[in-house]
Amino acid sequence: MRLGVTVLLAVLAASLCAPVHSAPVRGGTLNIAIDADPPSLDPHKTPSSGIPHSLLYNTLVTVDRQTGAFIPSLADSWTIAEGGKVITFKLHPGVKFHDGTPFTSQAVKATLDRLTAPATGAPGASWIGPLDRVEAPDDLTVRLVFKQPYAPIFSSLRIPFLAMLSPAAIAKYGKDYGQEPVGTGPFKFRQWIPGDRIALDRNPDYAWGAKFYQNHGAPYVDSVVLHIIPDESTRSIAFERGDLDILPTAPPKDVARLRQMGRYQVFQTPDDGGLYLGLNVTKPLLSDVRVRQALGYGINRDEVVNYALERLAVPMDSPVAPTIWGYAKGLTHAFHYDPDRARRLLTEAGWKPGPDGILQKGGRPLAFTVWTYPRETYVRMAVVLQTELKKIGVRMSIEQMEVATLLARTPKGEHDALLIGYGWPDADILYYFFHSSRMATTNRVHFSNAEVDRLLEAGRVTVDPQKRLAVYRDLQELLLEQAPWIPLASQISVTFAQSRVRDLAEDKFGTLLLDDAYLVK
Amino acid sequence: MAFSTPGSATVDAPAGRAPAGRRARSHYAIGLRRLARHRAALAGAAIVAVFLLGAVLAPELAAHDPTEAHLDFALRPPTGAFLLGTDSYGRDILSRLLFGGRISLTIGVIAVALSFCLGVPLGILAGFYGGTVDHIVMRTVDVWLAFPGLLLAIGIVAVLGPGLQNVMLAIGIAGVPGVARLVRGSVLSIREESYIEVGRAVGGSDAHIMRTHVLPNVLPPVIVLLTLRLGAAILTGVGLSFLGLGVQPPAPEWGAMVAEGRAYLQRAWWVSTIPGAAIFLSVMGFNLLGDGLRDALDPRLH
Amino acid sequence: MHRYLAQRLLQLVPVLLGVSILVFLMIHLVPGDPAQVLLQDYGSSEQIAAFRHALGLDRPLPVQYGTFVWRLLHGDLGRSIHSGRPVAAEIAARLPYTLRLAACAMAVAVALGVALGTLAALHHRRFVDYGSMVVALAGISLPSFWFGLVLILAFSYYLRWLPAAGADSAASIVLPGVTLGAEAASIIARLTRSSLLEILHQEYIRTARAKGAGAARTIFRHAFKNALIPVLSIAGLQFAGLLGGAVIIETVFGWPGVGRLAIDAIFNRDLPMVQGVVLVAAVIFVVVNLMVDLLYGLLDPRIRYS
Repeated sequence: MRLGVTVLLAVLAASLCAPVHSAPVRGGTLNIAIDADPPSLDPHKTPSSGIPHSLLYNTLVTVDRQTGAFIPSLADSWTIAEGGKVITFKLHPGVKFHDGTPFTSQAVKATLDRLTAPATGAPGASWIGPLDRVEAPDDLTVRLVFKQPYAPIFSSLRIPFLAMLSPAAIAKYGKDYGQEPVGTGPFKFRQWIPGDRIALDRNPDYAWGAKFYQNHGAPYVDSVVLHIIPDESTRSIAFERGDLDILPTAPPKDVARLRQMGRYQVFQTPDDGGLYLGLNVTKPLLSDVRVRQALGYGINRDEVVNYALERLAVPMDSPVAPTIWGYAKGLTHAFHYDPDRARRLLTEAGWKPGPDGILQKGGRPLAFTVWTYPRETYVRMAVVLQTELKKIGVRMSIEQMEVATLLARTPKGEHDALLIGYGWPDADILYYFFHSSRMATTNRVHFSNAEVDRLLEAGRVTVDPQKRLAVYRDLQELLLEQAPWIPLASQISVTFAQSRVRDLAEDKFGTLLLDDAYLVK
Repeated sequence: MAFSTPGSATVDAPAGRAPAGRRARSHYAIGLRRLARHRAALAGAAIVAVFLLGAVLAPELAAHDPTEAHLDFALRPPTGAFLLGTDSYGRDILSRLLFGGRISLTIGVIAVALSFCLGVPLGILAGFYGGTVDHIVMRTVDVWLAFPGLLLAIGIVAVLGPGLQNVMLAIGIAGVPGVARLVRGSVLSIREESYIEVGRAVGGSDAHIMRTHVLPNVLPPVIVLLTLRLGAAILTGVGLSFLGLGVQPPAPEWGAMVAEGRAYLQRAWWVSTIPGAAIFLSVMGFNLLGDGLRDALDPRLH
Repeated sequence: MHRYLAQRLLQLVPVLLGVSILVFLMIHLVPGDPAQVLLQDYGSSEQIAAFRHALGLDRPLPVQYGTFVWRLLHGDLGRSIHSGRPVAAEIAARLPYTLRLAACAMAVAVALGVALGTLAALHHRRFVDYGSMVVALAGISLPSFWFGLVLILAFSYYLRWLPAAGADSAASIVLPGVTLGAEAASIIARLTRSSLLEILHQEYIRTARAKGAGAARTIFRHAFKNALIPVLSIAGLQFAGLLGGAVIIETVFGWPGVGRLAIDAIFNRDLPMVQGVVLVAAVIFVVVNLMVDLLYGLLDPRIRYS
């Protein structure tokens, strides 16, 4: 439904801005803003993938622009055997890397072997799951053999972390692959001036774009230049000046203003992730599940959405955001704003009002500190939460913390609570956040529950989608009841484009689709 | 900023060459009278006084709680109910400004005091003893100075964690070498003066000579630098706030207010411009006062 | 003279050694682990351990430092942990941008600073004096991230004269250059004013003025040359200091210099990169100061180097 609205909006905006639908024009440069240099253009050397990776590379599968279903990309078809342990892909013939070498099953094998080799140190290596080996029976057939079934594999396969690399280029550049990236994507690498720009040129040989494109050949634009502009305000101004054609993920505070101007195309996509308040359940204060639940009922998510996120979000009622595969609607333990219930829970837990309006028990105030990253959105949310929680007699202090410090200190359990976010298209991400084996790393709330562990493990090996959805439904219900996380909101990303850009699109996950795009004067 | 003299090419310190300790004291008395006639300095003192008063009397003067958000009142322009408008959380900017003065001015004063408490003795020791002591101190100072100031402050805050105390500590430590250099230069320029020789001849201990003869004579330029550095210290705090390493929200530190309001510059100019003006005025106040002090204490200008 | 130069250059060694030890200790005291930042914890603990081992992060600190110095002596600054690129190449690509920015800022600072300072000194204690000092003070008291955005809004957004971000054209440098130069300008203005005042009060100038020589001529012939000596020294220090100020300015204007590189490296705990940038900054600082001292000697014959 939301997707329908999104598409409608985009179509509406496009039709308003482009009254005459003309034939595509060749040529020109698309100028696009990005906020930071990617750590590397080598998919095996970067913890985050973004626009440059999705333009340079292709993956075996991709998602349909509208339905989000997995559809062929470099693989034409696939079969799943042995209860999900073996997946056989038939590869698309005639695909060439930017360096001219053919894309074959050997390339898939070389890529995945490099990804999983410990020496590579690939941040995205874990997303391939318990892969045992890759077999290449012939040039256009490749088999992934897993130690056990790994249900989320297709979500991983479409992410640029698992994009296909040229074996010849791996041999030639090795560690420096990121400086001379070679993929099969619609654009090839020209130049990277760190801190300034990444320039890509149209791949003239490109003829293997996904089915949903109108254009099945090379892109219409000659080149794409990604301008690295870290400051939000500067980025918006550069776009308004017309220096940029596309402003992806516009700063929330500028969205309403830019939209009002009425002269830009607007693309709205709900994020496949969300923001949450994570509670360290080993802290005496927060170890009482009633206190955790009270926090859940004491927060008005509408206030968070309206004031902290500029209305560019939807309230989140489960640890799994609505856009993520596995989200369960209408859970009985889903939090809603009910301050009376919050107060009742706290009274039950033995907390009594103190002189300053903050609840007390045994002389100790109901007060805790939340750690968050020094990013405007997070800090704004923290301040709104602070105001909300004060109304039910809870004092929350805020401490901004750099990413590196937070990552290093949370495994030790020094923190009371965290306000951060995550994004991943599959509910399996919860494995990292709540499985007891992840305690020292991504399980930052130090939560441990045998039933949760069991469900998380079942979610990984249950290949049948309906059964898997049922597993995640039970899991979400249990997690809400135990309340190690208070889900807050899932943001909506907004991309603006000048009216001179035609037939631009975004897929369900906010990936910019440039194959059909062209520029008019 | 670094008001110091370069390398080993010994150049006189900018000011302050009064002779002996006692005469230095009477010199201060003259200076004070001169200061009272110095219009710019008086203006500076008045500005500083207004901000200090505002900070001290903040609880009495502020009409609203500086940290309490009233989200329905966000981004109200300056009007009767909110004399200087509200910020993006609906907090009263005037109240935040008054309470914020406590934080920002404290950062400036404490950080500068720290720089001087460490820098002045280091500079005096280096200048007075010369030789190996000088060498060790000055090479340490060189290392310190060669490390870009803001990066050093960032590094220290990163080690200690953000928060008011650590911010003051970081800014204070980053300011030490500049002070030490200036003081050393001044000491060198008076080391061979006759009253130091006399002090030595009558058998005063080194500590005594440094305290009674050297210190009073290097103080004038130090006082000037002190007022100048106050502004710089406040601004370094502001820079740290911009990077999210400063005082934690919702504390109304001025720099944090500017940083927070900056995003709304096109929508609501007052949110960042008003605290920006407060920083500007207070730094200007301290600088005018510093200029006046320098003029008043420098015998050659009269 | 040659001995002096050699001696000064020799002093670089302990300074650089000290700076590198300081950086090394600082980064190791800061909580955080570059492997963790890069792998974002999603990897298994074995994977993180393997990665740390490959980078040598699991070895004792003195060994790590020794390795660093050994490589440095062979001209190798190592590879960035975060981007995997050679540190020297990355700095070489980005340093010219920062130097260009700093040079532009310095030009703005000297031109503006000397002009305002002279104006103020010539109208000592009159309205022009106070007026120009207030203008000068604006540079040192306005937060640069705010001032920079105001300039972008004014000249790039409303007037559309100059670009808002990037380093594409010659015009791109103007706004960041002015923003960065403003702080140094105010310091130079104040110093110019005070040293001119000092000299204008000296006997020989008074005599010259009394003899009826035009005020302007007097100032340019006698006062200016002497007054500019301390200004020069401060300008030198400021130039080196600009590298620090560039951290924020480069972020605001999307300028691809080393300031941003440095701060990102600190946030990523990218030790080799932090080492590299800070060492380069230290070398620039020391060399600029040395040049200033030498110029000093040329301008002021009273100073002798021994």
